Amino acid sequence: MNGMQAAARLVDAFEEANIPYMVVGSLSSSFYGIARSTYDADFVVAAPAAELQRVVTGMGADFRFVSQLSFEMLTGTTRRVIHVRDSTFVIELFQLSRDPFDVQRFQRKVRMHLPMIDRQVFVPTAEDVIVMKLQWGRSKDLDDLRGVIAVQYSMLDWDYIQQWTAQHGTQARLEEIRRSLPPLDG
Amino acid sequence: MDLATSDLADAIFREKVLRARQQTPSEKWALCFELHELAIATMRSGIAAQHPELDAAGIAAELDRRLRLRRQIEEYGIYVPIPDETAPTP
Repeated sequence: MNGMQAAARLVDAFEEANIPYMVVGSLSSSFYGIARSTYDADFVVAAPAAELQRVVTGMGADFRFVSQLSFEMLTGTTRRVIHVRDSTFVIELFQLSRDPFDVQRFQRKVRMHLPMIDRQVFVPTAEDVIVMKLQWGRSKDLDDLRGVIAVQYSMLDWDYIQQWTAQHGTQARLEEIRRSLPPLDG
Repeated sequence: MDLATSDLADAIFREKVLRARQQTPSEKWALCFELHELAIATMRSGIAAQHPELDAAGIAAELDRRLRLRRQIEEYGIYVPIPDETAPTP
């Protein structure tokens, strides 16, 4: 099973179990920006750990939870990793945290139709991808969001972005990225 | 970065942006996974070239080691292991 098939099966499982989810990480920034290679598919989910365990177990032997749970220090959420049999691809599930931005980002998620896999998936808005990646601030996040900003520029709700960057203290980082963009039409 | 290199980098980036604006989200989704497969195939080829003595299992083991290393570097200082409350008790 390849990564795309694995991610599609997980989306199906969440839909069938009525588990609210959205695709985040580099897949979500690739939706809005410049696609790049990724080693994992990241999902934010709003369901108890036991429910997630039940759903993933029900997907069969191709999907296996890694026993080690992790605490993610930026937003204070927990992460569970799923290994896909015979695949180098990994799926990561992040529990929806109580962080105000995390909550709002999840509420604002949008459904996007993906004809190539014949599915609709939930993703954050472009603005929320930018705000989140600014918070992470790793070099790969900054590259990703440079792409998102450049591709989406005139369509972005800058007031919304600036409201959160002010709260997160990431305005300087955002301005630096905007200044680094070459002239583009639109 | 000198001016010529900076101009070249800008031109390449502009090209990527213009291409991305022509792609649908669905095409970009598929591309992410295709690029992953390409990256893995390239890593496998690199391992095989560097270690001609390895068989398929050995190459897979080295690939696994490199992927784990990549993950450790990327996640350093961001994630802290915690006990899993849903794990079955012995």
